[in-house]
Amino acid sequence: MVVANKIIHLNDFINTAVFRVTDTACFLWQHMDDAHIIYDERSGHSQALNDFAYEILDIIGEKPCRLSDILATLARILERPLEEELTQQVFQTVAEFDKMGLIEPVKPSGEVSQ
Amino acid sequence: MNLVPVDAKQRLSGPGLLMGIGPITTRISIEFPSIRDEFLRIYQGYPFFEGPEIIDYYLDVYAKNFFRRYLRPQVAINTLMRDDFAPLPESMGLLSVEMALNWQVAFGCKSHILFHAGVVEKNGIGVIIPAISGSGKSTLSAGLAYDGWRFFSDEFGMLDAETGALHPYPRPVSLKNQSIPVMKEWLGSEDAFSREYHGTPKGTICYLRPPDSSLENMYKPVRPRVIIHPVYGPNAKSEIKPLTETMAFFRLVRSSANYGDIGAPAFHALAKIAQNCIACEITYSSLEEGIRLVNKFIDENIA
Repeated sequence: MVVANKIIHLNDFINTAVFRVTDTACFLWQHMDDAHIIYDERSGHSQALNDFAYEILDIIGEKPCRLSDILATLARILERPLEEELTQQVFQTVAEFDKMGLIEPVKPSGEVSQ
Repeated sequence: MNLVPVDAKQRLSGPGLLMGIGPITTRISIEFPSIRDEFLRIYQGYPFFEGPEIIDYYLDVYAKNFFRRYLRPQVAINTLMRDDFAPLPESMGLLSVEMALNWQVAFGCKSHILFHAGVVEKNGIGVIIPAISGSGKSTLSAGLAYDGWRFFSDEFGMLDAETGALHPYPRPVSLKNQSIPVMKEWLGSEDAFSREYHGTPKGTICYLRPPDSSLENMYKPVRPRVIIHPVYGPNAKSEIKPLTETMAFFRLVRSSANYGDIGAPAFHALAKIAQNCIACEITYSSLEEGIRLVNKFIDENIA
């Protein structure tokens, strides 16, 4: 069950890693009527983010954080616990950001390197 | 200085003829008399210069050797871009010329943001018609051109990233297969058409010279105000579907040949167009209907 293992590993990775936004100096933004468009100068690629994804990237951009931190911050903003469906959407959005190279995992602060 | 046709022919067969279309000047020399004749017929009314002039591109149409010149004539192309075009028979020489000109613009042009799009203008309203091949953009652009619009191009939208203006590049329209009789019927005369080239990789091809008024105004840019994405289907139901700014932006990105090469200035320029233009997708089943939808969308949305 290699495929299942890989999924589990991806889940573990997204759930436990501390992410930060990659070099923000390389990002250009344009805000459209229904989305925020980000241009990555390193790759020359453009991506569209809806308000929800934009907010999540903003949270990660403030300081490196885990998925659990993002969920907690969103719950604070929304003033209610997040439903399972919304939690899944946040998970998928973070996984997409990682795939697109907008965020990257970093060593958690306080961890001593060997 | 414009040359009289006989001089143009001499220069084509000798040192090269300078042809300035919109912002691009190309030096062209053609070794084959039959191709020279076809070239000058379809490019009748275009500005030819003696020079000196800054040359953007270079095109040499020649035979690789004596046998390929006289026994089984075959056309080779040199553009100084280290490209390697498959030779075509002399009877398809004009196709080689047109393909090589397209190739150089598509891969060499970095001075303008390029869209794979038709562009037309009327009353100062620039319309970009971005689409993939086979969507009917050439036919629609040509139809609009012969219905009172100024023709910029059926193939290359050229945008100056700094000024945000579209520049005309009104080369002959490349019509394919069923669109040939449609346009011949639309014009009611065959004077502006080349002969038909059968058996090409894209089927039958025929070139259509843009209206004289478009050629006379080929150095006047315009600001884009409208983006229209055409979808042709022989049995399609007519429809106008508005596009959001984001959708318009990504359709332009998808149609641009050099967006990634130009980088940040292209990103800003395209975003500005998407934000300042009205945009829609039209679905239509005939040229007449396509033109009606374009006019309707503009009349209803631009005061």
